[in-house]
Amino acid sequence: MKQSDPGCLSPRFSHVYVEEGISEHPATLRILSNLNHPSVIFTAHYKDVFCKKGQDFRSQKACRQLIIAAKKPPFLYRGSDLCDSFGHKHFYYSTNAMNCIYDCTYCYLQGMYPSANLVIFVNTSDIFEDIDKELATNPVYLCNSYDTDLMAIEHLTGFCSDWIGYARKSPDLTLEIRTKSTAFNSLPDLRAADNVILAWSVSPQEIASRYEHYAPSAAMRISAMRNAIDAGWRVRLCVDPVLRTDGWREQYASLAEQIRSKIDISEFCDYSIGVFRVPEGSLKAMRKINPCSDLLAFPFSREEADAAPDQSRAAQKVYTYCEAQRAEMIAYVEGCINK
Amino acid sequence: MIFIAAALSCEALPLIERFQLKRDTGETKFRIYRSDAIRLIITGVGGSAAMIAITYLLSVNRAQRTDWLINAGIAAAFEESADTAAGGIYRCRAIRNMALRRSFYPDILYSMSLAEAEILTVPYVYSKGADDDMRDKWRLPFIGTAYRGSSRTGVEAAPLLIDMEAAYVYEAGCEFIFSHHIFILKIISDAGDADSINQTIVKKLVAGQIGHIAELVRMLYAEESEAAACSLRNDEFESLASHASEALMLSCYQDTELRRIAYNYNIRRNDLAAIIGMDSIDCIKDEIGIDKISSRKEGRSVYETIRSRLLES
Repeated sequence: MKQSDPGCLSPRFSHVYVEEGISEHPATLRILSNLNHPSVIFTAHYKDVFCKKGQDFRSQKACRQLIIAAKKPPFLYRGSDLCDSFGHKHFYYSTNAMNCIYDCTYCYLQGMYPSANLVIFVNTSDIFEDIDKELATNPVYLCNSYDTDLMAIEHLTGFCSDWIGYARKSPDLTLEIRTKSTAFNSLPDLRAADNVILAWSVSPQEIASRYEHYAPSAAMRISAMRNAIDAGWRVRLCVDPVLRTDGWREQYASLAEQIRSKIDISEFCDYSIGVFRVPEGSLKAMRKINPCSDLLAFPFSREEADAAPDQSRAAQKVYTYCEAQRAEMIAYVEGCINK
Repeated sequence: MIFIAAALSCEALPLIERFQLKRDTGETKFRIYRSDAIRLIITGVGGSAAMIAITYLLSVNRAQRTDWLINAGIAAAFEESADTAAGGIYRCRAIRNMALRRSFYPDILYSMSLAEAEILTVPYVYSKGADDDMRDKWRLPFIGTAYRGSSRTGVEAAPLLIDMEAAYVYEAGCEFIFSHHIFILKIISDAGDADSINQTIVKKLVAGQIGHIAELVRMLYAEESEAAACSLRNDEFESLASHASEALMLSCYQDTELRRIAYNYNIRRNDLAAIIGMDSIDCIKDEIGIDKISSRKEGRSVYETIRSRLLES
């Protein structure tokens, strides 16, 4: 029986909760074998753990536990108006996991779920089947790392390899795998796929150190991007969200210089720049979870997000910087990148 | 505050002695023992008794989310094995209520030097011989793989304990206290042979593991001190906001708004006194030509200046 030192926090993933129904699923076995002898607790449904009463998000974030479950439909979701569709008409995202191993103060995942524990859904093949149905009628642009950082848990799950393998067989699919991790370096044998875009979110080191807990440094992410480009991958640069911290101009100018010293901007397939923005309901939850965050204490402006291009949904209210600040920040960062 | 629940007096006695608790003579409904930082209640046997007692204890003591709850007592081992000899103490990581077919999973965020077990709360005293027909029903599907372990995953099955209160203590406790602040600690008394134990044996079993419980209480004391330091900082903010609100004769809406924006300003700039301290309010009064705030209208004109300063980015 496992025992550990008293009086300290449990190690990350020391306890893994597994839904009974998928206890012998190959992906479950793979994940468990990649962990260091965790205590495994079986549960009828993942929500018995994930949605239970009395959870404290911040404490859980300090020593996250893992839940392995099967995703129930729907498997595909329409892309949010707050996210860039890069001109794709059929923009979707999927959820292979909920929550992220990183702890970024500005992330909408803070407070989005009742728990900070990481849920991994092992039935990826069900998501692929749904995409197949959609692909039968139109091309699909799909992001699979919005509710998590799938690449960052690649060492546990191997899901990115599965996704890339699937994308290679589905030419009408354009897949974006967004990450802050350097796990690409552990996939060197995976040959590049034309319809897969590896997108890295980067922030100035001052911001990464202060607000992107557990995430790799800016330099390490830039180095991972360099390696991916050298290996023939399409790489997207995401400077998103741009944050208006003290000294933000110098910080983003320095980041742009740091990127340009390693990668010519023309080597990216494209780039995106966006300022901090969260749905209006999220900011309250984020502040509740991070009551002492100077970043979230900023007097944000309540604005209307751009509506869906096809007007199928009403415009969403978001908290972001005021219009003048947004325009200034985007123009400045874009200017730095294109210098 | 650290709350402790034990079903029987003989389970509670070693704890009362160790922590030098005194009987709360003002309490007539339950036997409650206390010190400055601990309240111990003897709940009585069974789920309903446990739930009522915990709800009472936590309500009358105005329990906060950040308080702690320990359920300490004896339990039977579902099956005899080397791991489940009498006297062994376990921390329960999964708590299952047989009557309601519900399972609870306390967050195991704090490490302890204790082995872990799963516990099944049943509505009667577990007797191995008499309950043979129940054993398979309990295992599947309710306990299922959890009890069998899994050959393919190489997962080691945790011992299964049986008691009559844990699920109810946890469920009631969770209404008041964070899940990771609730500890269900059980000492094995028998393996379905309740007739073989008596009050003296129970007292001895608990006394034999009192060191582990005391170690946990020590750890919780340390965590309590840290929380108290945070509360002092909050008191400072509260004092500034209250004085400003009173001096400006703010309405209920304005008071709520002031606290919200002042809180955010203080996090960003950490010099709230420079904006809403009494000296600052006097300066603003001079600037806008108000000698004394004697109406809400005058208060509002000062408040608008304060508000715009607090919202400066």
